Amino acid sequence: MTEGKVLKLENIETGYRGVQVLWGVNVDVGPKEIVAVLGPNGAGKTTLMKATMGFLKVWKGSIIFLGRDITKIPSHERVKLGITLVPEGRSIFPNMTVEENLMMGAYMYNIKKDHRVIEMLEVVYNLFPILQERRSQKAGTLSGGQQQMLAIGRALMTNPKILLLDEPTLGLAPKLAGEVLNTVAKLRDELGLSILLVEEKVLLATNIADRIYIMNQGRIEHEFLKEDLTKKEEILQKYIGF
Amino acid sequence: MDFKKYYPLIPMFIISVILLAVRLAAPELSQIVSLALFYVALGEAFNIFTGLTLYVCFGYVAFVALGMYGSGLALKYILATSNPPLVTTILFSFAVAGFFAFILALVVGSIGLRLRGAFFAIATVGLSEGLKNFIEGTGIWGGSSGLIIAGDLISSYGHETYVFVSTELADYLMFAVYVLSLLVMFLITKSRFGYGLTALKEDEDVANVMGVNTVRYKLMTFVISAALAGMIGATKMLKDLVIYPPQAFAISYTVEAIVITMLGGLGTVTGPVIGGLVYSILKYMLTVSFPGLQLLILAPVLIAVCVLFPYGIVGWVKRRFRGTLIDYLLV
Ligand SMILES: Nc1ncnc2c1ncn2[C@@H]1O[C@H](COP(=O)(O)OP(=O)(O)O)[C@@H](O)[C@H]1O
Ligand SMILES: [Mg+2]
Repeated sequence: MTEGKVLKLENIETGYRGVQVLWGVNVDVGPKEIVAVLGPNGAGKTTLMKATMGFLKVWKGSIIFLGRDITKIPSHERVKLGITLVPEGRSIFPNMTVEENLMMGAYMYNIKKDHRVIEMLEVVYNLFPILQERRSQKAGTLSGGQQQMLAIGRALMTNPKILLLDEPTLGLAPKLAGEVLNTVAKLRDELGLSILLVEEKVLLATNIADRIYIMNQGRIEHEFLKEDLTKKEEILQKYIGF
Repeated sequence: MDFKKYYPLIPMFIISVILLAVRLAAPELSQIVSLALFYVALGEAFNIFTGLTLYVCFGYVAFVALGMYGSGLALKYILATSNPPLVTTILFSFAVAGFFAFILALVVGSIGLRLRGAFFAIATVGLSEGLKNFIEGTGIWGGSSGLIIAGDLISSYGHETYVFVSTELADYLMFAVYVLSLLVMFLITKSRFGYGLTALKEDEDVANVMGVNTVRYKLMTFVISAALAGMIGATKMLKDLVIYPPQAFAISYTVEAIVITMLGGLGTVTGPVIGGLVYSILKYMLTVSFPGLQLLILAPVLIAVCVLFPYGIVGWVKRRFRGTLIDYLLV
Protein backbone atom coordinates (compact mmCIF):
# COMPACT_ATOMS: atom_id res chain seq x y z
CA MET A 1 0.00 0.00 0.00
CA THR A 2 1.34 3.37 -0.99
CA GLU A 3 -1.12 5.18 1.18
CA GLY A 4 0.20 6.52 4.44
CA LYS A 5 3.81 5.90 3.45
CA VAL A 6 6.18 8.83 3.36
CA LEU A 7 8.71 7.12 1.13
CA LYS A 8 8.41 4.02 -0.98
CA LEU A 9 11.30 2.56 -2.95
CA GLU A 10 9.86 0.06 -5.37
CA ASN A 11 11.96 -2.56 -7.12
CA ILE A 12 14.98 -0.32 -7.35
CA GLU A 13 17.69 -1.48 -9.73
CA THR A 14 20.77 0.62 -10.31
CA GLY A 15 24.55 0.60 -10.34
CA TYR A 16 27.66 2.29 -11.66
CA ARG A 17 28.59 2.48 -15.33
CA GLY A 18 26.81 -0.70 -16.29
CA VAL A 19 27.80 -2.67 -13.20
CA GLN A 20 24.59 -3.47 -11.38
CA VAL A 21 24.66 -3.03 -7.59
CA LEU A 22 21.01 -3.01 -6.49
CA TRP A 23 18.72 -5.83 -7.61
CA GLY A 24 15.07 -4.98 -7.07
CA VAL A 25 15.16 -3.33 -3.68
CA ASN A 26 11.86 -2.63 -1.90
CA VAL A 27 11.99 -0.37 1.14
CA ASP A 28 9.37 1.91 2.63
CA VAL A 29 9.19 4.40 5.46
CA GLY A 30 6.02 5.49 7.24
CA PRO A 31 5.29 8.72 9.08
CA LYS A 32 7.31 9.24 12.27
CA GLU A 33 9.09 5.98 11.66
CA ILE A 34 12.77 5.11 11.89
CA VAL A 35 13.56 2.45 9.34
CA ALA A 36 17.04 0.99 9.42
CA VAL A 37 18.74 -0.73 6.52
CA LEU A 38 21.50 -2.88 7.96
CA GLY A 39 24.10 -4.67 5.98
CA PRO A 40 27.81 -5.36 5.73
CA ASN A 41 30.27 -3.15 3.93
CA GLY A 42 29.65 -3.21 0.20
CA ALA A 43 26.04 -4.37 0.52
CA GLY A 44 24.80 -1.38 -1.48
CA LYS A 45 23.46 0.79 1.33
CA THR A 46 25.14 3.99 0.18
CA THR A 47 24.10 3.23 -3.38
CA LEU A 48 20.50 3.00 -2.19
CA MET A 49 20.80 6.39 -0.49
CA LYS A 50 22.32 7.96 -3.60
CA ALA A 51 19.53 6.59 -5.75
CA THR A 52 16.89 7.86 -3.33
CA MET A 53 18.47 11.29 -3.33
CA GLY A 54 18.84 11.35 -7.11
CA PHE A 55 22.63 11.33 -7.31
CA LEU A 56 22.38 8.09 -9.20
CA LYS A 57 19.93 7.36 -11.97
CA VAL A 58 17.56 4.52 -11.25
CA TRP A 59 17.60 1.93 -14.03
CA LYS A 60 14.37 0.26 -13.05
CA GLY A 61 11.76 0.73 -10.39
CA SER A 62 10.35 3.89 -8.86
CA ILE A 63 10.66 6.21 -5.93
CA ILE A 64 7.40 7.44 -4.45
CA PHE A 65 7.44 10.34 -2.00
CA LEU A 66 4.14 11.19 -0.31
CA GLY A 67 2.25 9.49 -3.10
CA ARG A 68 4.14 11.31 -5.84
CA ASP A 69 6.51 9.64 -8.27
CA ILE A 70 9.82 11.47 -7.95
CA THR A 71 11.99 8.98 -9.83
CA LYS A 72 12.84 11.51 -12.53
CA ILE A 73 13.10 14.65 -10.39
CA PRO A 74 16.62 16.11 -9.90
CA SER A 75 18.14 16.03 -6.41
CA HIS A 76 17.88 19.74 -5.63
CA GLU A 77 14.16 19.57 -6.39
CA ARG A 78 13.77 16.57 -4.11
CA VAL A 79 15.26 18.66 -1.32
CA LYS A 80 12.59 21.29 -1.88
CA LEU A 81 9.92 18.62 -1.59
CA GLY A 82 11.30 17.59 1.81
CA ILE A 83 13.88 14.85 1.38
CA THR A 84 17.43 15.36 2.44
CA LEU A 85 20.50 13.29 3.10
CA VAL A 86 23.36 13.40 5.55
CA PRO A 87 26.04 11.76 3.42
CA GLU A 88 28.48 9.16 4.66
CA GLY A 89 31.55 10.59 6.40
CA ARG A 90 30.16 13.86 7.88
CA SER A 91 30.88 16.28 5.08
CA ILE A 92 30.70 19.49 7.07
CA PHE A 93 32.53 22.62 5.92
CA PRO A 94 35.55 22.62 8.24
CA ASN A 95 36.68 26.18 7.59
CA MET A 96 33.32 27.74 8.30
CA THR A 97 31.94 28.34 11.75
CA VAL A 98 29.26 26.10 13.20
CA GLU A 99 26.58 28.69 12.58
CA GLU A 100 27.78 29.38 9.04
CA ASN A 101 27.48 25.66 8.36
CA LEU A 102 23.92 25.69 9.64
CA MET A 103 23.02 28.77 7.62
CA MET A 104 24.38 27.05 4.53
CA GLY A 105 21.76 24.41 5.19
CA ALA A 106 19.10 27.11 4.99
CA TYR A 107 20.31 27.99 1.52
CA MET A 108 16.88 27.53 -0.07
CA TYR A 109 15.32 30.20 2.09
CA ASN A 110 15.77 33.94 2.07
CA ILE A 111 18.05 33.97 5.07
CA LYS A 112 17.52 37.58 6.07
CA LYS A 113 13.78 37.73 5.56
CA ASP A 114 12.34 34.28 6.14
CA HIS A 115 11.31 33.77 9.75
CA ARG A 116 11.45 30.01 9.24
CA VAL A 117 15.24 30.18 9.20
CA ILE A 118 15.43 31.55 12.73
CA GLU A 119 12.84 29.03 13.87
CA MET A 120 14.77 26.14 12.41
CA LEU A 121 18.00 27.42 13.89
CA GLU A 122 16.30 27.47 17.26
CA VAL A 123 15.06 23.91 16.81
CA VAL A 124 18.57 22.75 15.94
CA TYR A 125 20.12 24.56 18.90
CA ASN A 126 17.51 23.07 21.22
CA LEU A 127 18.31 19.61 19.96
CA PHE A 128 22.05 20.15 20.08
CA PRO A 129 22.88 22.69 22.79
CA ILE A 130 26.58 22.01 22.21
CA LEU A 131 26.28 23.51 18.74
CA GLN A 132 24.88 26.71 20.18
CA GLU A 133 27.74 26.83 22.67
CA ARG A 134 30.24 26.47 19.85
CA ARG A 135 28.35 28.47 17.24
CA SER A 136 31.27 30.79 16.38
CA GLN A 137 33.89 28.07 16.44
CA LYS A 138 35.35 26.66 13.21
CA ALA A 139 33.50 23.43 12.45
CA GLY A 140 36.77 21.61 11.81
CA THR A 141 37.71 21.98 15.48
CA LEU A 142 34.65 20.03 16.69
CA SER A 143 34.99 16.42 17.86
CA GLY A 144 33.80 13.61 15.61
CA GLY A 145 30.47 13.24 17.41
CA GLN A 146 29.83 16.98 17.35
CA GLN A 147 30.64 17.14 13.65
CA GLN A 148 28.04 14.46 13.02
CA MET A 149 25.52 16.46 15.05
CA LEU A 150 26.38 19.50 12.96
CA ALA A 151 25.89 17.52 9.75
CA ILE A 152 22.47 16.42 10.99
CA GLY A 153 21.68 19.95 12.16
CA ARG A 154 22.59 21.36 8.77
CA ALA A 155 20.32 18.84 7.08
CA LEU A 156 17.48 19.84 9.42
CA MET A 157 17.86 23.44 8.25
CA THR A 158 16.37 22.39 4.90
CA ASN A 159 13.17 21.68 6.84
CA PRO A 160 12.80 18.06 5.67
CA LYS A 161 9.93 15.64 6.07
CA ILE A 162 12.22 12.67 5.77
CA LEU A 163 15.89 12.48 6.63
CA LEU A 164 18.23 9.96 5.06
CA LEU A 165 21.19 9.13 7.27
CA ASP A 166 24.11 7.25 5.79
CA GLU A 167 26.10 5.64 8.62
CA PRO A 168 26.00 8.53 11.05
CA THR A 169 28.09 6.55 13.55
CA LEU A 170 30.93 5.79 11.16
CA GLY A 171 34.25 6.09 12.97
CA LEU A 172 32.71 6.99 16.33
CA ALA A 173 33.46 5.22 19.61
CA PRO A 174 30.49 3.05 20.80
CA LYS A 175 29.46 5.51 23.51
CA LEU A 176 29.42 8.47 21.11
CA ALA A 177 27.71 6.36 18.46
CA GLY A 178 24.96 5.62 20.97
CA GLU A 179 24.59 9.31 21.72
CA VAL A 180 24.27 10.22 18.07
CA LEU A 181 21.61 7.55 17.53
CA ASN A 182 19.72 8.78 20.59
CA THR A 183 19.48 12.20 19.01
CA VAL A 184 18.24 10.51 15.84
CA ALA A 185 15.44 9.02 17.95
CA LYS A 186 14.71 12.53 19.22
CA LEU A 187 14.23 13.73 15.65
CA ARG A 188 11.40 11.25 15.37
CA ASP A 189 9.94 11.74 18.83
CA GLU A 190 10.21 15.51 19.12
CA LEU A 191 10.08 16.72 15.52
CA GLY A 192 7.95 13.94 14.11
CA LEU A 193 10.40 13.23 11.29
CA SER A 194 10.56 10.05 9.25
CA ILE A 195 14.04 8.60 9.04
CA LEU A 196 15.73 6.16 6.74
CA LEU A 197 18.88 5.07 8.51
CA VAL A 198 21.71 3.03 7.06
CA GLU A 199 23.99 1.35 9.56
CA GLU A 200 26.58 -1.32 10.11
CA LYS A 201 26.31 -1.12 13.90
CA VAL A 202 23.42 -3.58 14.17
CA LEU A 203 22.69 -3.63 17.88
CA LEU A 204 22.80 0.13 18.32
CA ALA A 205 20.48 0.58 15.37
CA THR A 206 17.93 -1.94 16.69
CA ASN A 207 17.70 0.14 19.86
CA ILE A 208 16.07 3.03 18.04
CA ALA A 209 14.60 1.52 14.85
CA ASP A 210 10.90 0.81 14.36
CA ARG A 211 11.59 -1.57 11.53
CA ILE A 212 14.68 -3.17 10.05
CA TYR A 213 15.71 -4.42 6.66
CA ILE A 214 18.76 -6.61 6.24
CA MET A 215 20.55 -5.97 3.01
CA ASN A 216 23.20 -8.05 1.38
CA GLN A 217 24.77 -7.98 -2.06
CA GLY A 218 22.29 -5.47 -3.33
CA ARG A 219 19.19 -7.30 -2.17
CA ILE A 220 16.88 -7.00 0.81
CA GLU A 221 17.06 -10.41 2.43
CA HIS A 222 14.93 -9.93 5.54
CA GLU A 223 12.52 -7.55 7.11
CA PHE A 224 11.97 -7.37 10.85
CA LEU A 225 8.80 -5.71 12.00
CA LYS A 226 8.48 -3.75 15.21
CA GLU A 227 7.34 -6.76 17.21
CA ASP A 228 10.35 -8.80 16.05
CA LEU A 229 12.93 -6.28 17.09
CA THR A 230 13.36 -7.87 20.51
CA LYS A 231 14.78 -10.97 18.87
CA LYS A 232 18.19 -9.39 18.68
CA GLU A 233 20.02 -12.65 18.38
CA GLU A 234 18.05 -13.65 15.35
CA ILE A 235 18.69 -10.30 13.72
CA LEU A 236 22.36 -10.61 14.44
CA GLN A 237 22.36 -14.13 13.05
CA LYS A 238 20.70 -13.03 9.84
CA TYR A 239 23.15 -10.18 9.60
CA ILE A 240 26.26 -12.28 10.12
CA GLY A 241 24.80 -15.40 8.58
CA PHE A 242 25.82 -14.59 5.04
CA MET B 1 21.91 49.10 2.61
CA ASP B 2 25.02 47.42 3.83
CA PHE B 3 27.86 49.45 2.36
CA LYS B 4 30.47 47.70 4.47
CA LYS B 5 30.51 44.68 2.25
CA TYR B 6 31.65 46.87 -0.63
CA TYR B 7 34.73 48.21 1.20
CA PRO B 8 37.00 45.58 -0.40
CA LEU B 9 36.36 47.41 -3.66
CA ILE B 10 38.57 50.25 -2.40
CA PRO B 11 41.93 48.44 -2.70
CA MET B 12 40.82 46.99 -6.05
CA PHE B 13 39.97 50.48 -7.21
CA ILE B 14 43.37 51.80 -6.11
CA ILE B 15 45.28 49.00 -7.88
CA SER B 16 43.25 49.54 -11.04
CA VAL B 17 43.76 53.28 -11.04
CA ILE B 18 47.52 52.81 -10.63
CA LEU B 19 47.55 50.39 -13.54
CA LEU B 20 45.63 52.81 -15.71
CA ALA B 21 47.77 55.75 -14.60
CA VAL B 22 50.98 53.92 -15.48
CA ARG B 23 49.62 53.19 -18.93
CA LEU B 24 48.61 56.84 -19.43
CA ALA B 25 51.66 58.50 -17.92
CA ALA B 26 54.43 56.24 -19.12
CA PRO B 27 53.90 55.29 -22.75
CA GLU B 28 57.39 53.78 -22.80
CA LEU B 29 56.05 51.09 -20.46
CA SER B 30 53.00 50.43 -22.64
CA GLN B 31 54.37 47.10 -23.85
CA ILE B 32 54.63 45.58 -20.39
CA VAL B 33 51.41 47.24 -19.22
CA SER B 34 49.40 45.76 -22.06
CA LEU B 35 50.97 42.37 -21.36
CA ALA B 36 49.99 42.76 -17.72
CA LEU B 37 46.44 43.83 -18.59
CA PHE B 38 46.00 40.79 -20.78
CA TYR B 39 47.16 38.38 -18.10
CA VAL B 40 45.23 40.07 -15.32
CA ALA B 41 42.03 39.95 -17.36
CA LEU B 42 42.64 36.38 -18.47
CA GLY B 43 43.37 35.26 -14.90
CA GLU B 44 40.26 36.95 -13.55
CA ALA B 45 37.95 35.53 -16.22
CA PHE B 46 39.45 32.07 -15.72
CA ASN B 47 39.05 32.45 -11.96
CA ILE B 48 35.30 32.99 -12.25
CA PHE B 49 34.89 29.41 -13.37
CA THR B 50 37.87 27.56 -11.90
CA GLY B 51 38.27 29.59 -8.72
CA LEU B 52 34.60 29.37 -7.82
CA THR B 53 33.98 25.73 -8.70
CA LEU B 54 37.45 24.12 -8.70
CA TYR B 55 36.62 22.69 -12.12
CA VAL B 56 39.33 23.13 -14.74
CA CYS B 57 38.72 23.44 -18.45
CA PHE B 58 41.94 22.47 -20.20
CA GLY B 59 40.62 23.83 -23.46
CA TYR B 60 39.97 27.28 -22.00
CA VAL B 61 41.99 29.07 -24.69
CA ALA B 62 39.28 28.02 -27.15
CA PHE B 63 37.04 30.76 -25.72
CA VAL B 64 39.71 33.41 -26.22
CA ALA B 65 40.32 32.14 -29.75
CA LEU B 66 36.64 32.01 -30.58
CA GLY B 67 36.33 35.55 -29.28
CA MET B 68 39.12 36.61 -31.64
CA TYR B 69 37.41 34.93 -34.57
CA GLY B 70 33.96 36.14 -33.59
CA SER B 71 35.04 39.75 -33.30
CA GLY B 72 37.26 39.56 -36.39
CA LEU B 73 34.47 38.15 -38.52
CA ALA B 74 31.96 40.61 -37.11
CA LEU B 75 34.28 43.51 -37.87
CA LYS B 76 34.89 42.29 -41.41
CA TYR B 77 31.18 41.77 -41.94
CA ILE B 78 29.98 45.10 -40.63
CA LEU B 79 32.66 47.06 -42.53
CA ALA B 80 31.89 45.20 -45.75
CA THR B 81 28.19 46.00 -45.57
CA SER B 82 28.11 49.50 -44.11
CA ASN B 83 30.29 52.23 -42.74
CA PRO B 84 29.27 52.77 -39.12
CA PRO B 85 31.13 54.89 -36.56
CA LEU B 86 34.08 53.15 -34.88
CA VAL B 87 32.21 52.79 -31.58
CA THR B 88 29.42 50.80 -33.21
CA THR B 89 31.87 48.56 -35.03
CA ILE B 90 33.74 47.80 -31.84
CA LEU B 91 30.67 47.24 -29.70
CA PHE B 92 29.25 44.92 -32.33
CA SER B 93 32.44 42.89 -32.57
CA PHE B 94 32.66 42.59 -28.78
CA ALA B 95 29.07 41.40 -28.57
CA VAL B 96 29.68 38.77 -31.23
CA ALA B 97 32.91 37.67 -29.52
CA GLY B 98 31.17 37.20 -26.19
CA PHE B 99 28.28 35.44 -27.88
CA PHE B 100 30.47 32.96 -29.78
CA ALA B 101 32.34 32.01 -26.61
CA PHE B 102 29.08 31.86 -24.65
CA ILE B 103 27.51 29.45 -27.13
CA LEU B 104 30.57 27.19 -27.17
CA ALA B 105 30.61 27.12 -23.35
CA LEU B 106 26.90 26.41 -23.27
CA VAL B 107 27.29 23.42 -25.55
CA VAL B 108 30.44 22.06 -23.90
CA GLY B 109 29.14 22.77 -20.40
CA SER B 110 25.65 21.31 -20.86
CA ILE B 111 27.21 18.01 -21.76
CA GLY B 112 30.50 18.08 -19.86
CA LEU B 113 29.48 19.61 -16.54
CA ARG B 114 27.36 16.61 -15.71
CA LEU B 115 30.72 14.94 -15.19
CA ARG B 116 32.56 15.39 -11.94
CA GLY B 117 35.84 17.31 -11.52
CA ALA B 118 38.64 15.30 -13.06
CA PHE B 119 36.39 13.73 -15.69
CA PHE B 120 35.32 17.15 -16.90
CA ALA B 121 38.96 18.27 -17.07
CA ILE B 122 39.90 15.24 -19.16
CA ALA B 123 36.89 15.70 -21.42
CA THR B 124 37.95 19.27 -22.23
CA VAL B 125 41.57 18.48 -23.11
CA GLY B 126 40.83 18.16 -26.81
CA LEU B 127 38.51 21.15 -27.05
CA SER B 128 40.96 23.80 -28.25
CA GLU B 129 43.10 21.52 -30.40
CA GLY B 130 39.99 20.01 -31.93
CA LEU B 131 38.57 23.39 -32.80
CA LYS B 132 41.89 24.55 -34.22
CA ASN B 133 42.20 21.44 -36.38
CA PHE B 134 38.63 21.94 -37.52
CA ILE B 135 39.32 25.49 -38.66
CA GLU B 136 42.57 24.52 -40.35
CA GLY B 137 41.14 21.36 -41.86
CA THR B 138 37.93 22.75 -43.28
CA GLY B 139 39.50 26.06 -44.24
CA ILE B 140 36.64 28.10 -42.77
CA TRP B 141 37.40 31.56 -41.38
CA GLY B 142 40.57 31.79 -43.43
CA GLY B 143 41.69 28.30 -42.41
CA SER B 144 45.37 27.84 -41.74
CA SER B 145 46.35 31.02 -43.58
CA GLY B 146 44.53 33.04 -40.95
CA LEU B 147 42.31 36.07 -40.93
CA ILE B 148 43.73 39.53 -41.53
CA ILE B 149 41.61 42.39 -40.28
CA ALA B 150 44.04 45.30 -40.55
CA GLY B 151 43.16 46.05 -44.17
CA ASP B 152 39.43 46.33 -43.47
CA LEU B 153 40.08 48.78 -40.67
CA ILE B 154 42.45 50.91 -42.74
CA SER B 155 40.15 51.12 -45.75
CA SER B 156 37.17 52.13 -43.61
CA TYR B 157 38.73 54.44 -41.04
CA GLY B 158 42.14 55.37 -42.38
CA HIS B 159 45.66 54.63 -41.22
CA GLU B 160 45.65 56.90 -38.21
CA THR B 161 42.61 55.24 -36.65
CA TYR B 162 44.10 51.86 -37.38
CA VAL B 163 47.25 52.74 -35.42
CA PHE B 164 45.17 54.26 -32.62
CA VAL B 165 43.00 51.14 -32.32
CA SER B 166 45.83 48.66 -32.07
CA THR B 167 48.26 50.69 -29.95
CA GLU B 168 45.95 52.69 -27.70
CA LEU B 169 42.31 51.66 -27.76
CA ALA B 170 43.03 47.93 -27.42
CA ASP B 171 44.83 48.55 -24.12
CA TYR B 172 41.97 50.58 -22.68
CA LEU B 173 39.45 48.02 -23.82
CA MET B 174 41.52 45.32 -22.15
CA PHE B 175 41.45 47.43 -19.02
CA ALA B 176 37.67 47.64 -19.33
CA VAL B 177 37.32 43.85 -19.71
CA TYR B 178 39.58 43.38 -16.70
CA VAL B 179 37.47 45.75 -14.59
CA LEU B 180 34.30 44.03 -15.76
CA SER B 181 35.67 40.58 -14.85
CA LEU B 182 36.81 41.84 -11.47
CA LEU B 183 33.41 43.33 -10.70
CA VAL B 184 31.53 40.26 -11.88
CA MET B 185 33.72 38.05 -9.70
CA PHE B 186 33.26 40.35 -6.72
CA LEU B 187 29.49 40.57 -7.09
CA ILE B 188 29.19 36.81 -7.47
CA THR B 189 31.10 36.17 -4.25
CA LYS B 190 28.78 38.58 -2.41
CA SER B 191 25.58 37.06 -3.76
CA ARG B 192 23.35 34.12 -2.93
CA PHE B 193 24.67 32.51 -6.08
CA GLY B 194 28.19 32.79 -4.66
CA TYR B 195 26.97 31.36 -1.40
CA GLY B 196 25.71 28.26 -3.19
CA LEU B 197 28.98 28.04 -5.07
CA THR B 198 30.92 28.02 -1.80
CA ALA B 199 29.02 24.91 -0.81
CA LEU B 200 29.44 23.38 -4.26
CA LYS B 201 33.19 23.96 -4.15
CA GLU B 202 33.47 22.23 -0.78
CA ASP B 203 31.26 19.26 -1.55
CA GLU B 204 28.99 18.89 -4.52
CA ASP B 205 26.75 16.24 -2.98
CA VAL B 206 26.23 18.32 0.13
CA ALA B 207 25.44 21.40 -1.94
CA ASN B 208 22.89 19.29 -3.77
CA VAL B 209 21.16 18.13 -0.60
CA MET B 210 20.95 21.76 0.48
CA GLY B 211 18.91 22.45 -2.63
CA VAL B 212 21.64 23.91 -4.85
CA ASN B 213 21.15 23.10 -8.52
CA THR B 214 24.81 22.24 -8.95
CA VAL B 215 24.76 21.51 -12.67
CA ARG B 216 23.14 24.86 -13.42
CA TYR B 217 25.49 26.74 -11.09
CA LYS B 218 28.55 25.23 -12.70
CA LEU B 219 27.15 26.00 -16.13
CA MET B 220 26.42 29.61 -15.17
CA THR B 221 29.96 30.30 -13.97
CA PHE B 222 31.28 28.52 -17.05
CA VAL B 223 29.35 30.60 -19.58
CA ILE B 224 30.06 33.87 -17.75
CA SER B 225 33.74 33.04 -17.60
CA ALA B 226 33.77 32.02 -21.26
CA ALA B 227 31.94 35.14 -22.46
CA LEU B 228 34.53 37.29 -20.68
CA ALA B 229 37.33 35.22 -22.22
CA GLY B 230 35.68 35.85 -25.59
CA MET B 231 35.86 39.60 -24.99
CA ILE B 232 39.52 39.25 -24.04
CA GLY B 233 39.91 37.57 -27.41
CA ALA B 234 38.11 40.49 -29.08
CA THR B 235 40.56 42.89 -27.50
CA LYS B 236 43.48 40.76 -28.53
CA MET B 237 42.14 40.75 -32.07
CA LEU B 238 42.04 44.56 -32.05
CA LYS B 239 45.61 44.65 -30.82
CA ASP B 240 47.02 42.17 -33.36
CA LEU B 241 44.46 42.79 -36.16
CA VAL B 242 45.41 39.39 -37.51
CA ILE B 243 44.38 35.90 -36.37
CA TYR B 244 46.46 32.78 -36.97
CA PRO B 245 45.09 29.51 -35.58
CA PRO B 246 48.32 28.35 -33.85
CA GLN B 247 48.67 31.67 -31.98
CA ALA B 248 44.97 32.04 -31.25
CA PHE B 249 44.73 28.52 -29.86
CA ALA B 250 48.08 28.57 -28.02
CA ILE B 251 47.78 26.06 -25.19
CA SER B 252 50.18 28.22 -23.18
CA TYR B 253 47.34 30.65 -22.45
CA THR B 254 45.38 27.99 -20.61
CA VAL B 255 48.47 26.98 -18.66
CA GLU B 256 49.28 30.61 -17.89
CA ALA B 257 45.73 31.24 -16.68
CA ILE B 258 46.07 28.31 -14.28
CA VAL B 259 49.46 29.53 -13.06
CA ILE B 260 48.25 33.11 -12.54
CA THR B 261 45.21 32.15 -10.49
CA MET B 262 47.21 29.67 -8.41
CA LEU B 263 49.97 32.20 -7.90
CA GLY B 264 47.59 34.94 -6.80
CA GLY B 265 45.08 32.82 -4.93
CA LEU B 266 42.49 30.58 -6.53
CA GLY B 267 38.93 31.74 -5.86
CA THR B 268 39.93 35.08 -4.34
CA VAL B 269 38.81 38.21 -6.17
CA THR B 270 42.12 40.05 -6.11
CA GLY B 271 44.32 36.96 -6.52
CA PRO B 272 44.42 36.93 -10.32
CA VAL B 273 45.21 40.67 -10.34
CA ILE B 274 48.25 40.17 -8.11
CA GLY B 275 49.13 36.91 -9.85
CA GLY B 276 48.75 38.45 -13.29
CA LEU B 277 50.95 41.42 -12.38
CA VAL B 278 53.69 39.31 -10.82
CA TYR B 279 53.60 36.84 -13.67
CA SER B 280 53.72 39.36 -16.48
CA ILE B 281 56.52 41.37 -14.86
CA LEU B 282 58.55 38.19 -14.27
CA LYS B 283 57.91 36.97 -17.78
CA TYR B 284 58.80 40.33 -19.32
CA MET B 285 62.01 40.71 -17.35
CA LEU B 286 63.11 37.18 -18.12
CA THR B 287 62.31 37.60 -21.81
CA VAL B 288 64.40 40.74 -21.91
CA SER B 289 67.38 39.38 -19.95
CA PHE B 290 67.34 35.73 -20.99
CA PRO B 291 65.58 35.60 -24.34
CA GLY B 292 64.65 32.04 -25.26
CA LEU B 293 65.32 30.72 -21.77
CA GLN B 294 62.45 32.49 -19.99
CA LEU B 295 60.23 29.42 -19.66
CA LEU B 296 63.10 27.27 -18.45
CA ILE B 297 63.68 29.71 -15.59
CA LEU B 298 60.05 30.65 -15.01
CA ALA B 299 58.73 27.13 -14.58
CA PRO B 300 60.79 26.11 -11.52
CA VAL B 301 60.28 29.53 -9.93
CA LEU B 302 56.52 29.22 -10.28
CA ILE B 303 56.46 25.65 -9.01
CA ALA B 304 58.47 26.76 -5.99
CA VAL B 305 56.08 29.64 -5.31
CA CYS B 306 53.03 27.38 -5.61
CA VAL B 307 54.56 24.88 -3.19
CA LEU B 308 55.59 27.56 -0.72
CA PHE B 309 52.29 29.42 -0.96
CA PRO B 310 49.62 26.78 -1.58
CA TYR B 311 46.86 29.36 -1.08
CA GLY B 312 48.51 31.86 -3.40
CA ILE B 313 49.88 35.25 -2.52
CA VAL B 314 46.52 36.70 -1.50
CA GLY B 315 45.63 33.56 0.44
CA TRP B 316 48.93 33.73 2.27
CA VAL B 317 48.53 37.41 3.17
CA LYS B 318 44.97 36.79 4.39
CA ARG B 319 46.11 33.96 6.61
CA ARG B 320 49.11 35.90 7.88
CA PHE B 321 46.91 38.86 8.87
CA ARG B 322 43.79 36.95 9.84
CA GLY B 323 41.17 39.03 11.59
CA THR B 324 42.83 42.33 10.77
CA LEU B 325 41.76 45.10 8.41
CA ILE B 326 43.99 43.65 5.69
CA ASP B 327 42.17 40.32 5.85
CA TYR B 328 38.88 42.17 5.62
CA LEU B 329 39.77 44.44 2.72
CA LEU B 330 41.61 41.86 0.65
CA VAL B 331 39.04 39.51 -0.79
N1 LIG C 1 31.35 5.18 -7.39
C1 LIG C 1 31.34 3.84 -7.58
N2 LIG C 1 31.72 3.32 -8.76
C2 LIG C 1 31.68 1.99 -8.98
N3 LIG C 1 31.31 1.08 -8.05
C3 LIG C 1 30.92 1.54 -6.85
C4 LIG C 1 30.92 2.93 -6.55
N4 LIG C 1 30.49 3.10 -5.27
C5 LIG C 1 30.24 1.85 -4.80
N5 LIG C 1 30.48 0.91 -5.74
C6 LIG C 1 30.29 -0.54 -5.58
O1 LIG C 1 28.95 -0.79 -5.26
C7 LIG C 1 28.84 -1.75 -4.26
C8 LIG C 1 28.03 -1.22 -3.09
O2 LIG C 1 28.72 -0.13 -2.51
P1 LIG C 1 28.06 0.79 -1.40
O3 LIG C 1 26.70 1.16 -1.83
O4 LIG C 1 29.01 1.89 -1.11
O5 LIG C 1 27.98 -0.19 -0.15
P2 LIG C 1 27.78 0.12 1.39
O6 LIG C 1 27.39 1.53 1.55
O7 LIG C 1 26.71 -0.82 1.80
O8 LIG C 1 29.06 -0.20 2.06
C9 LIG C 1 30.26 -2.16 -3.88
O9 LIG C 1 30.56 -3.37 -4.54
C10 LIG C 1 31.11 -1.05 -4.41
O10 LIG C 1 32.35 -1.53 -4.82
MG1 LIG D 1 28.28 3.02 2.66
